[in-house]
Amino acid sequence: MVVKRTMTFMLILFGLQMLAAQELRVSASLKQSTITMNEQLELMLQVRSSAEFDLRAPEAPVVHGFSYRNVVSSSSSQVSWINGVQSSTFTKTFTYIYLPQRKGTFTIPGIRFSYKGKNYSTADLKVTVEDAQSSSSQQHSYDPWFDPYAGLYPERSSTNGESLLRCIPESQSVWLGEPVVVSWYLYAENRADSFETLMEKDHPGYGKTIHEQPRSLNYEEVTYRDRRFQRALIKRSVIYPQQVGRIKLPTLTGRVKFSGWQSNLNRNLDSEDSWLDVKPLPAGKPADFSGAVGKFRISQSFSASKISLGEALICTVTVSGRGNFGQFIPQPFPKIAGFQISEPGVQDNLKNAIDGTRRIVYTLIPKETGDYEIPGAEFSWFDSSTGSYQVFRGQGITLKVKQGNVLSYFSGLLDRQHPHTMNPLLERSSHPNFKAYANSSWFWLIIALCLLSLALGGFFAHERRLQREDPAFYAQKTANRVLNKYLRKATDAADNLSQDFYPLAESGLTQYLANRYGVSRSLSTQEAIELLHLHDLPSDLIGSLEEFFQLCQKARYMPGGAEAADLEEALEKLRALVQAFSRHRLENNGKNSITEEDK
Amino acid sequence: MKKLILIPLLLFGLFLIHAQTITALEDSLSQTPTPDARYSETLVKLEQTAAQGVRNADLFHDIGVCQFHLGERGKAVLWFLRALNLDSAHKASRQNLEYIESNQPSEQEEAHEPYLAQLFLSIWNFFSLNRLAIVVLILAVLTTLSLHLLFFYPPQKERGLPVLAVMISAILLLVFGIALGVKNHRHRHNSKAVVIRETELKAQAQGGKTVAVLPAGTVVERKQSGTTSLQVILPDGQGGWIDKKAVELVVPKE
Repeated sequence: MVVKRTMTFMLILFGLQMLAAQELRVSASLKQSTITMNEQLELMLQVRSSAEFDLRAPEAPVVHGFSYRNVVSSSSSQVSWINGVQSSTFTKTFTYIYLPQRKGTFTIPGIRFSYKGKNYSTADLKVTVEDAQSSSSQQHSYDPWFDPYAGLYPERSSTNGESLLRCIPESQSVWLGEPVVVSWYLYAENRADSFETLMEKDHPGYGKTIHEQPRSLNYEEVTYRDRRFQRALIKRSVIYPQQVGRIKLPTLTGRVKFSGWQSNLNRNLDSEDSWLDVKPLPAGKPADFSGAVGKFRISQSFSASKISLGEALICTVTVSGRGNFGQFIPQPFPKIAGFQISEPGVQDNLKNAIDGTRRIVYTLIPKETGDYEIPGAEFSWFDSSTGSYQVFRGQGITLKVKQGNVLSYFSGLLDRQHPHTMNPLLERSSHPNFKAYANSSWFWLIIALCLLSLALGGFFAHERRLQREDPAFYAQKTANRVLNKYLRKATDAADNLSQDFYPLAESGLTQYLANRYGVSRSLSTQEAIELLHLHDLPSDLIGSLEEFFQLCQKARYMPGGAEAADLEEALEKLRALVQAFSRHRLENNGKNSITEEDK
Repeated sequence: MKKLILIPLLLFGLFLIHAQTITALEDSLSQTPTPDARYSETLVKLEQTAAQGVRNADLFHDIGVCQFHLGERGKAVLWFLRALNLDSAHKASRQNLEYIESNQPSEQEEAHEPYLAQLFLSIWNFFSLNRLAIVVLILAVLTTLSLHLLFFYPPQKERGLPVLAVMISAILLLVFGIALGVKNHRHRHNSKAVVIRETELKAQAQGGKTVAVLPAGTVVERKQSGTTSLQVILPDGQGGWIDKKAVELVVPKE
């Protein structure tokens, strides 16, 4: 029972810990809320969590009146047991460094970032920038490390322990453009607690980048001028010589601080002068020299030997080694007829500013199908180890470009890598104005034709179905149409009990026979009947027709030949006659034919 | 049965040939190789053509390339989006847009879409406005033919096949018809806008607190327009107001 409860308790605690692990606690602070124009602003973002987390430095906020310089990160972890429960705290601190550009009070906007779908932000902060303190005012500051007697008794500090700043280049003589790492070390007989960089004075003839900047003083023991010193690295920079001859390396100025009883040794130091001999590059420079100086290994690869029209061929030149990666420009790819070639793209995988691998990527897009001889890429550099120019010429390939199809559009779908270069200009000879087909009249005309054909098809299909499934009804329907078409006036007359029915019915019927069987209207009744016999009409139908014609003639030419009451009967006879004609035509034409009445 | 299968195959083949023909024609038009420099000169000429009211995806693409090489990241993004608004299947513009985005990754952009979503987007992009219109026409003709076949199918025969043909073609017609409508609407009323120069996103139109700083090239959705500022929504859903002068619409109001 006790074991179960303990287990449950532990599980709950573990669950709570897991929940808490998802959360980050963030805070921002300033190292100093008031700085002078000579100082740098340090904005610290502290992120804590009870579980390990992987967070890259959030984007530095834009602070008006300051120029952003750098961000430095550090991390720490702490594990403790309280009442048998383990608790861990993982902390990451990002220090954003800014340089003031003008005096005043400025607002630093809160830092915002997202981590695992959650948004975090810090509060706004305020900083005041004042005028740089003069040396006299500095003497009256409340700096606890300030030694008021250092200036009055300079020998006092020297007797109690010498400290100096040395600038040491890794090589005294270099080629023009060849990068050289320069280190600044603090040499001290007594270990200093801290060193604050105050200024770095540059001299003409070089460019530089920061190579390494330790956050703490890590001492090693060395001998210098036959004396033992504690030495700590302050900074390493990469110098790119841009001027032939003897150039002076940067001068670093900083303040060394000692604590406790040694605080009277606090002092400002300038690094000793150091020089670099820069040799000019020899003659014989290749025509398309890239400007690369160093020790490099070059290789080249093509993405494919067969592609479809619309796809791109990627040529990658890999430059590995040590050299002035930040100083040279990739050479353009040799021109090939029938190809569009991009500007070279650069992908760096550098351990620092001068060591690592650079990939130069060219995108080649064929314009037509065919077999092409693709030349290799070229890269020229100055090898600082041999003191000579080198040219790399990659091996060419035979590329087969086949016709593209719709599926080639999806060929890169599985490739999650981003494009390596900006595609080149298309440079069309003309630019026809875009027209949306869906807004064109022909588009809607085709749609209307489809709909119209559907309406007609549906109508005819309905008629055929009716003819097939209910021939009697269909015959009646067609007869009605005939009546409507040829005998409407006669029908109206019969409805009105008018004696005009007979001449109208005779006329309509004659017209119907003329249209359907080619019996001329000028023929007499007898002649028409005889002609109808030739059309293979049933004799009873012809008899009925003859009988109806006689009835009409009787009504027309014999006084009292027809009474009004007979009109209804005569109309029925006419209907029956027409239906009989219609049925006969259907039977005669076959079930699959369409009668003319349908039209 | 064979005829019924042959007709769609024939039409599909015709569609493929159409797509290939367009590619071949466009490629054959390009004759001069890409110049190594003088992007600004080319840009002046291209912008003159665009100022005449010509709307052409290749033209917009080339303006974007020039702007990029001249350091105008925001304008490059804007012109590539304009090219894609005309022709969502314009591969070169889409790749260039991806290239620019990959050079300035952010938290939102780094998150990859699921594979199926990518596949859908890719298919959606492949069917540009005019390709959709052609597909809709083909499907309309196919549906009409299938219906005619159904109307006049011999009654003594099993009607399953023509019914199936009608169902498939009608469903496809409906789907592609809706897609055409949606795409046409988006083409005409594209609410995207691009930040041309770095600007602050403020909580309110006037005198609001700065919420974020938007770098040039940020694509935003236009929501509402004020006198001097524009209410926008960022890709991560965050909203705010930005200076009207710092942003340009993908489809400018006429």
